Amino acid sequence: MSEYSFNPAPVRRVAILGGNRIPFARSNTVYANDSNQDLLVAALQGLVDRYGLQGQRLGEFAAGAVIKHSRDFNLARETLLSTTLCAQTPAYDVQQACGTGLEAALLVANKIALGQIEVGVAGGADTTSDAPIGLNESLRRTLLQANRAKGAGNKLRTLLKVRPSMFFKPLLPRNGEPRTGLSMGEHCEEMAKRWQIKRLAQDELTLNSHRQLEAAYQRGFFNDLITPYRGLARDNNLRADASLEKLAGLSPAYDRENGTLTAGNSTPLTDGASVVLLASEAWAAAHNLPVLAYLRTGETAAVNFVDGSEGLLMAPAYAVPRMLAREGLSLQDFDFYEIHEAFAAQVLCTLKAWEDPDYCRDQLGLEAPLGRIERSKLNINGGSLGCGHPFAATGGRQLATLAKAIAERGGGRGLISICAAGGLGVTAIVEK
Amino acid sequence: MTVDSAIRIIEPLPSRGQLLYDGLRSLRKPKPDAAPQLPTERLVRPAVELQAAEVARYAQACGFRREHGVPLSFPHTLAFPLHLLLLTRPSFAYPASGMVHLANRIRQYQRLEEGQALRLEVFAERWLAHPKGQALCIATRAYTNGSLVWEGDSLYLRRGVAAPVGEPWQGALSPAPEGLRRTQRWTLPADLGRRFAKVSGDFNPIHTSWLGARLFGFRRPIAHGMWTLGRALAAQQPPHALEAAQLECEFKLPIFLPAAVTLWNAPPSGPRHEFEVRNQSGDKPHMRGLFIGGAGQ
Repeated sequence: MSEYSFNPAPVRRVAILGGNRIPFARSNTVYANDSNQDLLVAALQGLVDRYGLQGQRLGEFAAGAVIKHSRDFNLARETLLSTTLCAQTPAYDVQQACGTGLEAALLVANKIALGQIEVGVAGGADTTSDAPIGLNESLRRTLLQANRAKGAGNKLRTLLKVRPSMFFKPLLPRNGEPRTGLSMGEHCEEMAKRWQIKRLAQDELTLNSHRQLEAAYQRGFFNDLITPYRGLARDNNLRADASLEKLAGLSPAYDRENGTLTAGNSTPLTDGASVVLLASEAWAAAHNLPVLAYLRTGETAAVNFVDGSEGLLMAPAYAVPRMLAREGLSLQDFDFYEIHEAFAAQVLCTLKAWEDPDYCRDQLGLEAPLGRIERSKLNINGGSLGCGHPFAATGGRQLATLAKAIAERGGGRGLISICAAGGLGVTAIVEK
Repeated sequence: MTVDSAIRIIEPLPSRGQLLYDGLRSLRKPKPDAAPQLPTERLVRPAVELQAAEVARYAQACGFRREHGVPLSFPHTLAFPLHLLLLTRPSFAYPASGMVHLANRIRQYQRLEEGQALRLEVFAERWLAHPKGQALCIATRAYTNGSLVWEGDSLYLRRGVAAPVGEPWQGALSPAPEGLRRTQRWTLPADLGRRFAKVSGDFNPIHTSWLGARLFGFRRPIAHGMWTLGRALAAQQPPHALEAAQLECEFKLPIFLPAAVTLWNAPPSGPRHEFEVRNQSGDKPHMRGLFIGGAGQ
């Protein structure tokens, strides 16, 4: 019997060659009639066109959506079949709440690193405009029971249990945690209170996100990262005229009396899609595609938020120090911090946690706090508060944006961090 | 205090209709002239099986998950008809329907399994003097193979009794801890009372019908205290079946259905979980509780 070993191929660097997304649109606006698949096809076809991939068989396409219809059981594969990529390219779905896009990229990257594939695309799409509406639970159970019943008589008898009221009480998708019944905003409001995050600080971070996104558009940064779609060329959540005064005028959204989170400093429901092209260096060279940056590693964490012992969106605070320790890096060894702004308060809670000696010792098990980051390096090309947050599309957006920023700078290192429902957090390091 | 009690085997259980009828008939009890007598009977169901289907229906109604095993509060539903029988006896001083469920204490000494048979004994344990009237503690004891595996003490109150007898009631719980955090929100549908009645056997009209609630002075049907207790317990329990565990709770303001209510928890410390169920905005309490689930199981 031979000694067991898992694929002894050497670990290779994983190159990020580029990315593509469609502009993100606020829910129920320009993409109101598009499905997840429509959005994802638009993003993927745009990538194929930009990098001349038509007819090519890639190693794989991994993508997902958070809010998904049951008909989308094979979303990635169905999407691929609607593009000009070779139909022999395999595909599979990934779903890890708002971490979906980045987790998909890590999966593809790991296969490239191990030599199982040479090139792959990772991505994600989400629409809350085309959300699935389920049958009323009693109606659904009755229909299933009727389906199981033997004989027409029994089937009819079962169907007689259907009541008209069942048709008027559908099962609507909820923007809430299944185990707590609280919305993500309410959870984050709780975190903001625990960490004493001021309203002004949240509004300032929000304003910065809009301004930096606007500036990035102005200098043409997104020209090779975005394919216009349905007449939209820029994210329609972006407010070029945002100001602290306007933000200050908004009333709290989740706790009307004592809250600090508003519709301004929280991301809105958004529709959109993004994809990233990853490959081995050999494949990139063979196809004459320059390497923007390398995806060095990733780390995922989860926290127990159910009993209230930790905030729902605090998992990245745990993932990052573990990843840094593994890689022998400090929090200050980065030129860019690409932190998903689910809520301005979420970002500020995480940064404050990393500076807090007690928290770093008691919760993160660190001898010394991770310390401050230079705020001028944070989300320099805008963040989710500015462009919006189509759940599964955020990871791909951040990865492509960061890789390009590193390439533009001529090298450097960046950190990506995404918090997600279920107390999850996905993080990664990109460098060149 | 245990009085010499006559054991009365209750088998089979009276029908739901009979219990309801007895309950309504007991409304016409005359006012007692002298100090009320503590019922001395001990009502017994000799072998009640923890049936998987019943456990599952109860668990689903309260939000317990499969991994929780037999819910800590489930045996109460098996004993509840005996509580009702005791309270509706002609010899019991007050009408059953007017008794307010004030507090509950549950202790479990070993894990309960589906298919296990329990010998349930229910008796009136003692009178307690409550500031608002006469309180009565009804005890439930559950035995398997002769050993006590589960016990419950339910405190019921008859309001407006001028000179209540018994020791003064101290309250079940220490004062509310500081720093409770909102951890959950539940949406309670209008028909929650009817749904929980079916799984708990408590068809008290104040829970199941609008008219019934009005007749007893409530503007709308109110949630069963035992539902609120079960729902809050499901939220505290770790994801495995409990061995030894205990729960204490006090009911405060009634929950008018339909409603949205919130659960508040003290920061967890070991196996102790202190919690409150409050209204939507979190400023009025519906229930307070303490759950201690043996750690390290």
